[in-house]
Amino acid sequence: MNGAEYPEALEELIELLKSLPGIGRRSAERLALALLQWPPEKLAVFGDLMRELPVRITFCPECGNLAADGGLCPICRAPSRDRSVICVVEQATQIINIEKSGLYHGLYHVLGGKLAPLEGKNPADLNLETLPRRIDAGPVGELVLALSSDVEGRATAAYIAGMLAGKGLRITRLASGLPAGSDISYADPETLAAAFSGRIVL
Amino acid sequence: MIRQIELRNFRNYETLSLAVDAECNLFIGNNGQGKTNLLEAIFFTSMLRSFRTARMAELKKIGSRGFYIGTKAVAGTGLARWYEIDYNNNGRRISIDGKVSPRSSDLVRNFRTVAFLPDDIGIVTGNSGLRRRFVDMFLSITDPHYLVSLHHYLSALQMRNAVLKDSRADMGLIAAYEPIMAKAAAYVADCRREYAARLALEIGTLLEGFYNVSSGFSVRYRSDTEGGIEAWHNKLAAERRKDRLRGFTGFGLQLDDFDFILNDKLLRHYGSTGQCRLISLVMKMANVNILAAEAQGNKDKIIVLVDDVTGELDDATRQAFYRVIGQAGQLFFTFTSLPGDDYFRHAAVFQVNNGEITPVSSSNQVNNG
Repeated sequence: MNGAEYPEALEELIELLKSLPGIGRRSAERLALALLQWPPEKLAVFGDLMRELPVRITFCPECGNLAADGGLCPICRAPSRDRSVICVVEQATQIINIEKSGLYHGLYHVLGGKLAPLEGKNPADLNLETLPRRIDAGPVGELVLALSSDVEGRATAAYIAGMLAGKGLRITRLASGLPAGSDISYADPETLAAAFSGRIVL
Repeated sequence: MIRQIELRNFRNYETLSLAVDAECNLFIGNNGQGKTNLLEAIFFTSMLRSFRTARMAELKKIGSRGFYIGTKAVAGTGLARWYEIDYNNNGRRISIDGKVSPRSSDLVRNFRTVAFLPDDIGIVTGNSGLRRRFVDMFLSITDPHYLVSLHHYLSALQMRNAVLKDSRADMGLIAAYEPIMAKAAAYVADCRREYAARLALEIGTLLEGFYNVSSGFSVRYRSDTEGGIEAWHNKLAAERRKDRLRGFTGFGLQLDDFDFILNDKLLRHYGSTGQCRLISLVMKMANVNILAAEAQGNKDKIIVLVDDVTGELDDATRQAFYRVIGQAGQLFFTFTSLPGDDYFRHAAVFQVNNGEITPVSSSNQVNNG
């Protein structure tokens, strides 16, 4: 070890931290040195959480949401949820957003991304296989596609709608347009165009 | 109107700080000194594209990591604003009055630029891509929704083509891109058709003004799908199987063309060089007319760039040319030597010499050697 290098264990920690999204070399160094300041008992809890992460946090075998210890996620487990509606989202984190709105009481289905053939992301790479089975198995009457309104998200929605055509389902997608509570003066032209084409009768 | 131009590492300009206060500006210099580069920088500010290349790396000074273009412009209200573009390996950053703006449309809508270039003849005689580019650039400045739709169409097309590379691709996956393409294509095709008709009308009127006879000029928009969203939808569905065999989408907006026809003859095949050159010039004059009509007297935003193209024009055509471009709020010309034309009597003159620009107080100081 020469004077311009950290001890090997710290260097390795820095390299690991650097592989996280949004963390560069400088930030990784700062994080590693901050960890070094932690009391040993705090570090031990942190380490245990890391080690147990893949065992304790799993994906819900039903919907693909984050779950604990290999079981169903809290939403699939809850008897109060409306089992006649499934809302399809790209990422599990988006479920938390929708839940915060408090308006939706149905089930979810997490795709784990959207179709992106230019990046090699095909239907086989998404959690699509279990979706028709869930629909056939349960009393599902409506599928809500809560996907991004970009080209990839729209194509993914169209693909799912095509895949499930003929199942007698009501397939809907979320409206796009003006953000709630915002001033129309700040809307960009594309959003305004979407809002205009989706206008509703009062 | 542009008041100040600042360049850093743009083409052959390491640094340039140029104050402009005239409506008509002449840049005089020998070949290879940077006259066209300056026009390119002005064009880039207004369109976020170059008129010479699609590769951004070519715009930076060789050996530098990126370029900067800053432009101070005054609107009709007299308020000056700074428009800045920073381009480097990490991408581009646009700011207006120091405030970073995420949307290119914020910048683009502040300028309406038409550039007359020596290569313009290629729009008439060259491949269909050059004609589509000409049309797309113009419609993008006049209609923001056109650019959005075209972008949607081209992204979806690219993805559909990526899927089509696999000869056993899932038909449902190919179809998934079609609603987006159909919706965007119907809009873009409508705009292109409308513009072709408008262009024909404007060019016809201009030609009749030159020669006092009926021009016999028309523009035919060639698209292999007529009709609205439904028609595009049906066509895409009908071609799906064939496209999968071909391995790509074999029809659509990306293959559209515009035929320029003079007296029943297709110009790019049967026109003389003189005719093609004249039409390419008149075509851009037509664009100035359309922008001026849309501006309804507020010509501040309209900028015309003329890169060494007036030399070959006969006197009558040149006078008509000056009349049309006179509708712009500001003009920038390049010449290798100071033109004798009376038209430039009140113009501000600048000498361009190896990436440096100096104002010339009177025409006799211009070094033509």
